[in-house]
Amino acid sequence: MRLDRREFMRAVGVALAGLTGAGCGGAACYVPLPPTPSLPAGLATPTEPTVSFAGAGWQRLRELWYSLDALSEKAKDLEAGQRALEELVREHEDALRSLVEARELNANVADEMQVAFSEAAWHVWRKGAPITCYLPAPYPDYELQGRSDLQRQAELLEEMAKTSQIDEATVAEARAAIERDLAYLTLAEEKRDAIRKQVMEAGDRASWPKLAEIELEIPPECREAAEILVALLLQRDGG
Amino acid sequence: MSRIFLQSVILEVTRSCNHACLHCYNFWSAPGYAGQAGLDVAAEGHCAPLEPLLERLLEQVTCRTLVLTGGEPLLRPDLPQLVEFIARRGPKVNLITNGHLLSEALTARLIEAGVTIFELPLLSFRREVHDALSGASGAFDAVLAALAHIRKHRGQAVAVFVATKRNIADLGETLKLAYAFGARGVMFNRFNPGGRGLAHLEELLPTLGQVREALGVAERAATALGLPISCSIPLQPCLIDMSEYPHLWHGFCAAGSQRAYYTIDPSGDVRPCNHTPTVLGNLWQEPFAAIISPERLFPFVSALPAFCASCRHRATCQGGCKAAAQVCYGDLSAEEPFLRTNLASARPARA
Repeated sequence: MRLDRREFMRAVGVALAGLTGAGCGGAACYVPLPPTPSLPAGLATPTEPTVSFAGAGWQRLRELWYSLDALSEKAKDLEAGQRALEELVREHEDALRSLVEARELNANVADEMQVAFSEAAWHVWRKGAPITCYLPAPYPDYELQGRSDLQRQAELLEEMAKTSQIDEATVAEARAAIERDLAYLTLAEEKRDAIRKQVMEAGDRASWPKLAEIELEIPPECREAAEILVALLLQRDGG
Repeated sequence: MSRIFLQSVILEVTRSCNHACLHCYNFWSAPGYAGQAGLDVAAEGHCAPLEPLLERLLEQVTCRTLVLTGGEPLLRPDLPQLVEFIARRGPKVNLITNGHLLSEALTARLIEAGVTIFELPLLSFRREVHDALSGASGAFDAVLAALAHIRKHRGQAVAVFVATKRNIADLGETLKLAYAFGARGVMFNRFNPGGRGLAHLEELLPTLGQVREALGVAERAATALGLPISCSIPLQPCLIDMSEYPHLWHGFCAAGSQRAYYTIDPSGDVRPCNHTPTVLGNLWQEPFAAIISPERLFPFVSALPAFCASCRHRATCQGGCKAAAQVCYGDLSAEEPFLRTNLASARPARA
């Protein structure tokens, strides 16, 4: 694969970010740069830079590269992380400008260094930033919903059954599940504890029971109470 | 070899499907697609085992969630065994299905095998609209029955509403329906053209006004019902100010990051996401780390429309869905259709 100049500098940035241990994670970031056979023969062997890095400006650049690690932490907060990213890139540009003005660095070289740093910073930020377009909402693991939720579900089920002309058997199945869960909530705490204990013990045996085996035994009075509640809320007459 | 950590990986277990959704984004469903449209699993009744591929993937990658999709994954008769195979190795399993084949017995079997979340389309509260968009009669009744089975067997379902011109006005009632059937969340996905959807772009792409109105409806429903609603297809901040909808979750393209959703097909081809046809490499030929190395991802990850170059949100938003730009206009850096259509209304935030 042949990289153009900008792509090459961006790849340099990412590789350096990896080498500074910037916390971008993922083994893929550490893949070495591909060889670039298109380099002129005279440049094929790396040469030692002739500049001295003793000055404060160079020290500042070094600090900015090593501050990428902190950026990976800040990135976990989307807003703050983005501000930190922009600030860091700006600071790097300012530091380069100072070096150019002090005639310690060629302006064209500084431009390329900025490309590498921008890419490195963006790479590190992106690795940590909580952005995704797949399932961004934290859907809860299964847990029984509260009584008011179940009651509202039951109300809406009846409403939607009418407006959507849903198959009666489907409505009945959904209604039965809501009533079962409501009935569970009407169980005394010790009975609920017993069920939880049964489930936990089964888990400890590393052999979970089949769902049918842990089907709730709902006392008739609880089932009736649930049915009454649902009917009452829907203002459905009994009988 | 060091392991790669990813939040989720998507596995397309088959390209076959029993629906013909007008909005389908699978690139192989595009009009005139010249490649292999996939094995007809339904006709053959069998398919190549995927366990060796999964074994190879999970040797190299630790992922929290493995998402099984297609095509229609339930066309694979070995799906419950596949779910068991994955769940035993640690990742949670999400199943994206249209629900048409989800009988009560199969639902119970899949929950027992380890499916954590079923993602099911609920495109309207009206049967005729849902069926027409799905390109399959009986789809509406089947998906509601599937939701009821999941509820009964204490599984978790997330309903997916793909917002198009045809159904966007139905959102409010559809959210009620999803809630009534026990959906634990809803994905509000504006129509993102690709695949078969390309042929219906004009007909289905909702207007900016329609999307804003629908977001208002979703916001009110999220508040009233306590229902988590996420907008999984990016909404550009220059078009829509999401701070007006504080109860809705939204995201942007995560390709190349730990939250990316690399997509693998049965042949082992790895893509940056399930909307793009771009193949980064093949898992049978190279290590996963090499396939997702920065230089491979550069063209995809760094693509940005010229219009967005000086926008303050360019790093997060990236212009929206670049895969949609790619499949619609052949260029990852083009403005994707929702942005292009609404450029006149866009208000980029200057850096």
